[in-house]
Amino acid sequence: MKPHNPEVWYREAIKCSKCGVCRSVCPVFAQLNHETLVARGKMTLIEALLQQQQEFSPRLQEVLSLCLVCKTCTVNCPSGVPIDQLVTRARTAFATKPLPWGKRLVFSLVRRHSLMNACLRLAGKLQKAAFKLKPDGQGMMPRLPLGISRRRLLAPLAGKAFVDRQPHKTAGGIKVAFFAGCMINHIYHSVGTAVLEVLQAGGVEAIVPREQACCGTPIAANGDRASAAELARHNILELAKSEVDGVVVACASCGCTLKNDYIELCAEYYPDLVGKAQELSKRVYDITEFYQKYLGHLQLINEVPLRATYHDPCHLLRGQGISKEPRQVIKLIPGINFIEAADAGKCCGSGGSFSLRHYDLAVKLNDEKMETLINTGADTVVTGCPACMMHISDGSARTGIGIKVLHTVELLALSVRK
Amino acid sequence: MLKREVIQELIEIVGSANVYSAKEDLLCYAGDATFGFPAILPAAVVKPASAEEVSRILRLANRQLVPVVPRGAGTSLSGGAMPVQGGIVLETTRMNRILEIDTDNLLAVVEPGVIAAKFHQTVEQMGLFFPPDPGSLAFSTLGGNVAVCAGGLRGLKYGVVKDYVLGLEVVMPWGGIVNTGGRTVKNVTGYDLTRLMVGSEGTLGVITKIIFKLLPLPAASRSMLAIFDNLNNAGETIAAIIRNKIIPATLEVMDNTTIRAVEAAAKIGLPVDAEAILLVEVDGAEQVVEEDLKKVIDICRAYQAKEIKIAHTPEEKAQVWSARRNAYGSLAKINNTILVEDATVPRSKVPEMISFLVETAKRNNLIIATLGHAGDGNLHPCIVFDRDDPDTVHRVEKATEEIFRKGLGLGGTLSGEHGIGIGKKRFLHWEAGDEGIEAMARIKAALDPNNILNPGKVFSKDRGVKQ
Repeated sequence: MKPHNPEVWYREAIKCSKCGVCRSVCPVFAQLNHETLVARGKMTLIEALLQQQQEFSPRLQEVLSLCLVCKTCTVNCPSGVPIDQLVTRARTAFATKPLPWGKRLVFSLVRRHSLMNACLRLAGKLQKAAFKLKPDGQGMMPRLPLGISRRRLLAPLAGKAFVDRQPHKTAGGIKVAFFAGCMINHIYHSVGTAVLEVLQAGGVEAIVPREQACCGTPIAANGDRASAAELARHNILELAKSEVDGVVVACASCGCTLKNDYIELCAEYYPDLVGKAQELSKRVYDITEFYQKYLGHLQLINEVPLRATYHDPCHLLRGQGISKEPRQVIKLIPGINFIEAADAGKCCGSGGSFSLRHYDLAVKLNDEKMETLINTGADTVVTGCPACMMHISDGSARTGIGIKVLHTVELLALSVRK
Repeated sequence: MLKREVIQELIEIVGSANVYSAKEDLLCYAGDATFGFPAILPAAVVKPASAEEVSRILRLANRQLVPVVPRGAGTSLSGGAMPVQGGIVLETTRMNRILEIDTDNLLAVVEPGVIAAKFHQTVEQMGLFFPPDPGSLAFSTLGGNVAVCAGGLRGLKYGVVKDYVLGLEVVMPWGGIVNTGGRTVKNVTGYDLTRLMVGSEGTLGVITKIIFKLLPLPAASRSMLAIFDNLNNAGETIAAIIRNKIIPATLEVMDNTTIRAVEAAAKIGLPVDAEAILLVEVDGAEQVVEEDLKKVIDICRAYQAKEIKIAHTPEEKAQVWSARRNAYGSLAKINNTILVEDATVPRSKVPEMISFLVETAKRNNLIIATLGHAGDGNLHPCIVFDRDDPDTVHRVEKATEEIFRKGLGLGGTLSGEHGIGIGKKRFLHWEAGDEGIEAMARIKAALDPNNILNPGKVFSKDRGVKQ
């Protein structure tokens, strides 16, 4: 099978029986209540596109941009249509057209990871000119029109890339590589540090390959699959070099991409690497998955007196089928009072660059998420994806409720830290 | 194409945010959940928020002689929401408030765009019960449910939508706003326009408000599943349950093709050589439910059920129902197209109909899986096929015709709950007769002389398929 063959995608698209189940699950549709924007409408348009009865119109581009790629429709589709893949592939068709300059610049940097690391180190120093820190130190907001809503709370850049910080090796029995991903590499160093602390406490030898690049998710989701495939190739070869037993990730989207998308990207662009991609896929572990499998002996020594609830990241719950593991980890930690939130698996509204382009919509989705989180009475939201962390932090700042946001592994690190 | 001034006037009525005319939007509103009919683009999509706005749109349409096609969530399986003559698609989903739940009079007043499942949840939280539960419950609208007189799994004991509509607010084809029925169970004032509107498939009026009758929520319910090696034994069991004066809330049947498909896709431990599975749910007062369940089990045993599973906990209940829940999805994944029919026969003819469906599948070399509401005779043969193979599509059409003919021959009807729309229009005269169609045509012409509302649906003047 050649996955990039339009005929193959046509066969997938027409499986949509237009039953309408997606109308009951799509978070974007729940806000906008418009047939064109639900999966069924998008499938109608993509089917027409594949039959060359629909041109690459600005309206189609707008419709395709209104998808969080949260996979809720895909996992609920009775006919098994790979809706999220069809949407991101249809975006590919637009990628030949000029992207906005901001995205173009970012994507060209993402493809050159060492240059990106250097640029973001510099940007980390200069960010105070473009962004002002919030008085409480929890994030920052744009001072200038940057193509990002000026109300948007962003997490500050961390300066030097996480992977450039030395030493980054812990000694131990099994050997793993930590794949940081851009959000941890450039923003949430605390998450990366927590991963290494936990691995070290568990006697795992961990390395942080310096040459790792962006996993490719943001680029592929925006339609540039060729560049995403380049990154896949680079990362597959880099991770193979490090000769490890496993690859640990703490970003839901990176994990989902390394496990699933690399195989498909290679099948399309680098068929000779499909075997290696499959091999890698088997060795990738979300940190909570890795904990369950290899770190059960870890002593959780510190009490962490928090009232905590958990938010399922789309790419962890639906992308990797991981929902029990993080909850078990959280409940194991002494001192934690865990309260399950209603609709914990509902998308927080981030959707990568969706929340930058459609900020008002992302805010509405986030408002609903914040309400379910607040209703638990928890003081801390735990989640497994840095993108969700940033969007929920934005919600916390916007609503003024000041609920704390932590990654599952940060909680774990608090409990094992000596 | 609509004249610019028509679009302009629509914008004046509902605001520019609620009028769509981009080609992409028109394409998405050209279809519903029906397979096999070409999409014809409407000229505009409009989303009114009140009966007054609907009225103004219909007056405009009469002035300009433009068709108007009412649409809820667009989940029709008979092409009911397809704008086959173009014109304006009028979506009712902005009118989505539950206006009132009257616990003293056991009734609710709702707008047509309320999603059925949301209504169910709301009344059930108050200890009340609205039985009609079509398969599209989670996403279809109550307005759509009324317009096609939807049914569901509980038809045998609780009837269908028409048994729960006390009154309506309807915008008539000429734009007049009419209130039919009322808030009382008894009401014989004038013609029963409520009954005329229920099931009229959007051809006689646009429903803008519904008064529903409610029931108290049954105190208890129990589910069980029985597996049969022999289809006839399953059929006899259905007949015996009713003969013993037990009316289960649901009585569902799945045939061997369905069982094999579910097992292949969902792996829940169903025996793939079984010929039929019956799913039974009894509800009512605690004591009665236990007695009824015991009787049903005894009957299943008497007719040689190979295996009986009884749900004692909510988890077990979910397990018992998982086969049925997985059925449609499992079948849909076999090929690229699934056609769900809903010819309905008198309950006693269910075994004969199922046998006929098995033969029809063989004769036409097709996959036809039967699952459905055995208790009320409303079977859903699902034909699974490749839509890109013209020969197969031809055989599907032939088999469908044979199923209709047999259903009518057994004293049944073309459609139990999906409606006629465009899908079965060609066959209507088999059941209604020429004079029956003439009666419908005269009603339509009297109420809608300009043929504005959902034209080209339910019946047509030409005779259609020869009987």
